Amino acid sequence: MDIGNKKIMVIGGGPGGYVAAIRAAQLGGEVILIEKDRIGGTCLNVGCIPTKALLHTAEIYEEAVHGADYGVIANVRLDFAKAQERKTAVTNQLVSGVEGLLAVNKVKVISGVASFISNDTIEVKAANGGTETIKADRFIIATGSVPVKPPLPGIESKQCIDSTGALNLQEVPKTMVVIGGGVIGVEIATLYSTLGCKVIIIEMQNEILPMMDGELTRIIRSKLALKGVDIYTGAKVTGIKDEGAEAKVAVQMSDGRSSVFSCEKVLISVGRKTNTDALALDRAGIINDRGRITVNDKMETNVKGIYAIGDCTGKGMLAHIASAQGEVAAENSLGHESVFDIRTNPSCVYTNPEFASVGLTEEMAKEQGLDYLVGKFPLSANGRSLIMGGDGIIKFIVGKEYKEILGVHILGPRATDLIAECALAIQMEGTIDEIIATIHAHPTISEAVREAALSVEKRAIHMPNK
Amino acid sequence: MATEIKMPQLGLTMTEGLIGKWKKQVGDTVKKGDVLVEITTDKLSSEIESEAEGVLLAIIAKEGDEVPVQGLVAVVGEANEKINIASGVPQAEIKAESAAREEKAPVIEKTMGGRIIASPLAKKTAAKMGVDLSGITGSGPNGRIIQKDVLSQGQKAKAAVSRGIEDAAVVVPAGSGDIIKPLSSMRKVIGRRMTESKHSAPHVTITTEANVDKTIALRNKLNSINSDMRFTYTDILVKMAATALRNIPRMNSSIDGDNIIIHDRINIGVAVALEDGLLVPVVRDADRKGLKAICSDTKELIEKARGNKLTGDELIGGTFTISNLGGYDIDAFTPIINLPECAILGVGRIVRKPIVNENDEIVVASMMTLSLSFDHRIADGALAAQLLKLIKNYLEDPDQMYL
Repeated sequence: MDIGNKKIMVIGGGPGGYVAAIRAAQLGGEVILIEKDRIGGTCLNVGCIPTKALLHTAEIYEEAVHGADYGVIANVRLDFAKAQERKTAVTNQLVSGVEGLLAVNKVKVISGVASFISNDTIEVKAANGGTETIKADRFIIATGSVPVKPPLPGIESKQCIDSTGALNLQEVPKTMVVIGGGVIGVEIATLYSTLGCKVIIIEMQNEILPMMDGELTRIIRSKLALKGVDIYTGAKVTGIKDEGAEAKVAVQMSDGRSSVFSCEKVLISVGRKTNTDALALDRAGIINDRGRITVNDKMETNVKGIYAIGDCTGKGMLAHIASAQGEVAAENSLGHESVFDIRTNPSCVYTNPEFASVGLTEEMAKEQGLDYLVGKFPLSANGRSLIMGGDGIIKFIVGKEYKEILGVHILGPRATDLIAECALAIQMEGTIDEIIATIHAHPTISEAVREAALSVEKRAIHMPNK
Repeated sequence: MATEIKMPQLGLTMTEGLIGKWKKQVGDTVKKGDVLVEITTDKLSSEIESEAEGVLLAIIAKEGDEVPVQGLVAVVGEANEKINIASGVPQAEIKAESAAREEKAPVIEKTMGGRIIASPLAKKTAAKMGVDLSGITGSGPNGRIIQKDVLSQGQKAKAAVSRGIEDAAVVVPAGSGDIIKPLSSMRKVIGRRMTESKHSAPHVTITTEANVDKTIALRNKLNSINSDMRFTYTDILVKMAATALRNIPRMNSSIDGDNIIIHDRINIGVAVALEDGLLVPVVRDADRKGLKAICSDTKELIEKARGNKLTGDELIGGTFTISNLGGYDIDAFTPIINLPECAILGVGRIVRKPIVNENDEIVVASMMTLSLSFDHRIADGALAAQLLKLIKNYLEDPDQMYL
């Protein structure tokens, strides 16, 4: 095997790139990481981590507001500046932690923007204008993505913000229109609606969170509605008008009528696009589809020795996918055999309660014509969930013949942590029997995972089986 | 002081033994003469007894391992005694042995019913489809068998059945009422040797019928004048076959690479059926022995075979084999050659039936069908037919043996 002493160039220091760099260093490669901004990429700086930091503030705030229900009476007041300060502290700590890991692994970090000169050489432009040309044996492209700015009239209005802007607001707006009901839009809607903002979500498709299981999505939709979030699906924004303190957002509703919503902020969260413009992919001959780098399951591009991972491939666009692909690319770049398998990829939405999913949704199982069974267990019948004041549901989709787990969908407290068990089951080609045979601690929400598996065979203990 | 228990040499030609079931486990107290483990050679089943008193400290050879003669099998010593397994065994030998074991380990684990790493879905699918997991190479992480592997194996097996091809893995359907028993060491040896014979020696089986009236008369006469022993047809056939082979020595031969070895000695093996198996002890120099000697030899050998008391030497050196299924009302069959011999004689039952005699009269006679399988690499049909004809002649007229 071809190990070590190879110069591995990782372009981009997000959750894909830094993981690839560390893995390549572990395998004996001489690793250089190029980062144009801050180590940690979107995830640590303007994505996953800051969102969850602010959402945690929102969660505590909400519990405090309802503290009387739990016997805690307090005069609750939100200090959003403090919340932002804490978010920044958490982010900084994680970024410096990753920087420390890179240093320990002897990864050389160069600050600047990388462009290919040929298929084995890149040029790095530093912030101060200086350039440096570097050759390497292997390249791992991990340049991530940036928010899409749709060509809407008035998109340049000062009230329009993207997810980065939404995370850096210094105070909670009174009103906000969210254009795009995907994960980012729904999470920011959850954040600000909890903190007292009136939020309106405009989604072009027929349902928000289109990749999630429809049955559970309808539940989370009603929960958002209870919080005062208005959701309009099948609706299209036709223009935004800056009216000084507020913006007016014109929307063509699903029934064809036109409506106008006034708001302090307009969040544009219609999606993200690959961040590959600066790379000059053509100079290295890397095949791409409008900036989305084409790769196989070994994360190889068409050019030997050049790999691409994460958002810049235009698929998945999740930090944990990028990290998993980063390890695969690093291993393959150093002569090992590794492939990326998407089957166990969980999708998590940090709503309240949390929403997590792995494997096939019921809609997908139907579409694929599979013979499947469904098991469901409501969290209102779970002790721990009741204690925590949460509710929700756990839903299993299993094959009819062998009861293998095809998909699991959880809406409830800590759903994003609970989903790991189900992802493991899918990775192992597990059936409900293994979940059932595993003792789940009491009192935990995980008991409900087992109950939902039992309910596939109509033998749940803690609810009547219809 | 620990005692090393080694693989005994149970016969002159024995080179290695197959370890069977362990009767004692590590930590068990053993007395001198206690059976430690069953072993099988390519000829027989036997047991290894403890040569010392104490505690079984270590089992070196696992069930299914093949251990060379004098190879270390176990160590017996005092409880809590520290043992150095390397003592007395040259280092290189141990390394080679353990390396061989490591190489074999996964195969043994699979075939000996050890843990097969397969996903729960793969296991359920295999059970439903009747696919044997032990024959499948997994494509999942660390060689784990996943459903895809089972499905493709199932398809292969199906295709093999529809094409009628046997070389693809055979699918053994297992129903809920079926009893699954591991193969005994003897069955494994029989299986291996029979398969090897059928694969390497092109078999031809020729049959003929003999009028055995005179042989019956001879046997009756011999038994009436000898009260101390009872001659069987097998005894008489051993003598007749041996005499015939003396006259046609090329059928008393073996093939060895590019040579045919025509054996000087004529040693006749007699197939003995056991409860679950088959042994072929050998009557040595049957051509030079009188019927009495042959009779007492076969009697002793059969008794020993049934009591599992045969020594290795009593099972080797055969140059021709006789298998008599007459007692089971079998007329004719196609026996499998007991390699490295050249031929085997299958003996059918004696049945009284009408025949046409030399005067064109229909008379009743006692007839016996003889089946001779021979190795076509050594002999052609004419030569084998000569041998069978000679045996037939002896049966029809035993006096011809004097010629």
